Amino acid sequence: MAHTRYPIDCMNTGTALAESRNDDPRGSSDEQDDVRRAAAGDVQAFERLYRAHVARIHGLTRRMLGDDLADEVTQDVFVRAWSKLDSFRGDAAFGTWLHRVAVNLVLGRRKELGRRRERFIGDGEAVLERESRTRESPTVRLELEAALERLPDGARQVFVLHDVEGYRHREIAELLGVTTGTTKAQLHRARMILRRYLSR
Amino acid sequence: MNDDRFQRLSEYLDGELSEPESAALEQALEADAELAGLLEQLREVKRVAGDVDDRGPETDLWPAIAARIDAERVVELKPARDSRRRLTFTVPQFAAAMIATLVMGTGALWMASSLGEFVGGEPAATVSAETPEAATTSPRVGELPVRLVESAEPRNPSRKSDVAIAALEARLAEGRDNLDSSTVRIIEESLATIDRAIESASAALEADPGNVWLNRHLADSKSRKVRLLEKAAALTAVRT
Repeated sequence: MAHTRYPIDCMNTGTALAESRNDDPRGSSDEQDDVRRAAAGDVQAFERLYRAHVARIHGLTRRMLGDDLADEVTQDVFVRAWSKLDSFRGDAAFGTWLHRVAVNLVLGRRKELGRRRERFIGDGEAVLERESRTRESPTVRLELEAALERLPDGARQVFVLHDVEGYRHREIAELLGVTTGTTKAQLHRARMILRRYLSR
Repeated sequence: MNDDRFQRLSEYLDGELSEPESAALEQALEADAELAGLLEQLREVKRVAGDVDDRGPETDLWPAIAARIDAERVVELKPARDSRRRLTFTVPQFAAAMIATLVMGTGALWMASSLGEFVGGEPAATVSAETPEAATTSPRVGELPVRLVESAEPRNPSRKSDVAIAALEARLAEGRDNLDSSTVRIIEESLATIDRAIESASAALEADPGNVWLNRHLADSKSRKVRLLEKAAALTAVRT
C-alpha cells in the first residue's frame, strides 16, 4: 500500500485544504456515512473507521515514538478521536482530521518523553555512523525505520512530518512552536545523517 | 565544500529556493561533483521516506480501544442535575442519581469490604469469632489502621467485586418488583453498558494479561457496577 500523505495547508483553521494523492479529499461516501454513525454512537461504524485508518496512524506513531509506544499511543488516538467526533465538521476528509488528532497527541507525548530522549540528541550521529558500518543490507524500509529510532529528537520529528507525512515547513513550525528556519535546519540535519546510513 | 551551498541543498531539493538562488546552486552543482553527489544522496533519502509503507500493528488494538470507548460511554450517560432532586426518585432523577454515583463513588464499598464484609477474599458472614481461625483474622476496632492499609491493595480485588456484585444483584432481584418498569429499564440499560465494558476489558486482557491500564479499567468497571447496584438496591428498600 503506498503511503498517503497529508500536507495540510490549514492546520489551525481546519478548513478543507487537505490533500492526498489517492483519496477523495472528503473521503468516500461510505466513510462519511460511518463517520456520521460513529458520531451518533455507533461503535461498529467506528470500528470500520479504525480498520481503515489504523495502519496509517500506527505508522505515524511508530516512526515518531518508536515501536515501544506505538500501540499504546495508537489506542489513545482512536479513543481521543471517538470522544472528539462531535467536533469533526466534515470540511476535510476524516483521515485528515484523524491524522491531525494523531499528530497533536504524538507531539504532546513526545514532550512528556523529552527528558528521557535527550540522551539521543547529542550522540545520534555517532550512533548512526557506528551502526551503518555494521549493518548488512536489510530492506530499505526497515533500515529507514531503524535509523529514525536513533535520530536526534528534533530532526526526527521534522523529518517524519515533512518527508514521510507530507507536512510543510510552515505547518510543522506552527505545530512545534519554532521558526521555519529551525525546521529547515532540522530537516537538512536529518537527511544528512540518514543519507550516510542508507547509502551503506 | 561551500557551507552555504551545502545547507541549501535540502531547500533546493524541496523547491523552496527562489529562481536566482536555484540558478546559482545549479551552476555550483555543475562545477562540483562532490556537491552533486551529495544532492543525489539526499534525493534518495527523500525518495525512500516518501515510499515507506504503512503496516498496521502486529496485534489487533481494537478490543482495547472498544473497552475504553465503552468506559467513556458509561460516563457519557451522566446528566447535569441538581443533586437535591434525586431524593424524589423519579425516573430521570434516578438516572441522574445512578450516574452521580458512578462519578462520585470513591471506593466506599472497597473500604467497607476490606474493613468488615470480607476477610481473606471470603464473605465476613462466614467467619465468626467462634472459630479460632476467624478469631485471628477478623477485623477489630483496634486494627482499623492496618485494615485501611490492606484495603489500599487488596489481594484479589476482582474477586471481591464479583462477590459484592453477586450479593447486590440478589438484593436487587428480591426488591425488583418494588420498582416501576421505567426504573428497571434504566437500571438494566446502565448495567448492560457496564457489562459490555467489563466483557471488552476481559477479552482484551486475555490477549494482554499484563496490561496495567486494562487491569485498572476492568477493576474500575466492576467498581462502577457495584456502585450502581448499591444505589439500585437502596432504591428498592426506599420503595418498599
